[in-house]
Amino acid sequence: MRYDNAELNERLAADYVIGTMRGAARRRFEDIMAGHIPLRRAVHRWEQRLFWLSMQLPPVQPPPEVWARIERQIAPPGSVMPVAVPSRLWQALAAGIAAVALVLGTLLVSRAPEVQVQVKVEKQAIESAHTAIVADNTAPIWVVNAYPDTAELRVQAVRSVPLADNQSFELWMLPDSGAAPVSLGLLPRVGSAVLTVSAEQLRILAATSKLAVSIEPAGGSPTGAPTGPIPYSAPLLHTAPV
Amino acid sequence: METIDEARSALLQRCASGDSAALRTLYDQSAPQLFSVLLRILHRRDLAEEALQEVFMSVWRKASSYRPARGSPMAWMTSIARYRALDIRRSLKSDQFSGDLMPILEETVAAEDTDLVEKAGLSGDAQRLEECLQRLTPQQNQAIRLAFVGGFTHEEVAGRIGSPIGTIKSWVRRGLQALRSCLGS
Repeated sequence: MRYDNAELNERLAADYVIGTMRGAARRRFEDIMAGHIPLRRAVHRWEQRLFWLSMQLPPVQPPPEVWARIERQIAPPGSVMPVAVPSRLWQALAAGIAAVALVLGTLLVSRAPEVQVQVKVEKQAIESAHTAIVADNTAPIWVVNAYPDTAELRVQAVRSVPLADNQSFELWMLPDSGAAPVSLGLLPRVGSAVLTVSAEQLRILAATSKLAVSIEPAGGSPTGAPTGPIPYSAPLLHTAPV
Repeated sequence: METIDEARSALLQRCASGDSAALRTLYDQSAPQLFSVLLRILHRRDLAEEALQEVFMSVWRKASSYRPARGSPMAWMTSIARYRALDIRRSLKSDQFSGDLMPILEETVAAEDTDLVEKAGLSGDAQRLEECLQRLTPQQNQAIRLAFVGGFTHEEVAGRIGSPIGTIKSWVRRGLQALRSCLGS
């Protein structure tokens, strides 16, 4: 089936959104949509046009047990205090790895024995256009996702690796052209960070297949080029054509 | 002033950073509407309750991937709910659906046309959709509502309206085409 025809895209998207597309055709469409931006946008437009029909239904109060079950799932009892951080990590890890798992299967997940997360690939979750997992020999350290729409790079430190207090980890693009590394900013030691990227950086990112991490003086390279050792590098995967 | 969409986007952002209080607020604001959407498609409270739980777990897990560019937060959540309900419905045998709610559906579908105009505070987009739906033939309008809101297949819509399936397919397709050009986007 052809997916490069705008009119056909509209029709298929409408058929999908209204729900009359069923069975294997629906699954196949979801697979294709995950990697097809025009189709995904057509679907989003139809969702936005039609969801008002659902808003016309009279609201019905669900029983309180439903929320109780949700609450238990997101914060298991007995671990109310410390759960905030692990659940956030888990969530970011799942979202970050989902994109890669699509391409690499379970390879990377099985390389992370400490994490033991069963990643369920949810194609709808994949909105980042570029993604990378920076890992050492044992497990992932950072999950990097780039979102061109909002000019953001979201970085999650999955675990922390030792570094002197007067040093920082800095993330670099190694452009395919062979040009000098271009900095993307400093990596968080723990937790997550949102780095803003310029249009120029995004342009380079789209033509980059490899990221590297260098150890710099605190605050980042004073010269604009890597000055310290480069302990980690990772392939950059382009999950959606832009 | 912050719009309701902006407020909900902010709640989703807080969910993305692991703030369960934000999910609770979203739940309080939208669960009754989504529960109604699920009930309408699933016809069974037990299934709808289970689906509602799954929907909010999806919202929680996918909050970081939500972007305002893809539509309003409510449109996004409604899609998650509808698609989940359609998946559940497909996995069940037809005899697991009671017919009890069917008459309610048809009453509501009929009543909505007149009811809606009176609804105060209806957003401009909702009004525009309603105006465009009114320009379709009544058959196109009904077939689209049965499919979208009721979660019925072409075949089921054909059975309910009593017209051949090919006719239903063309009503839905032409109706949607006309809607798109009427809404002008």
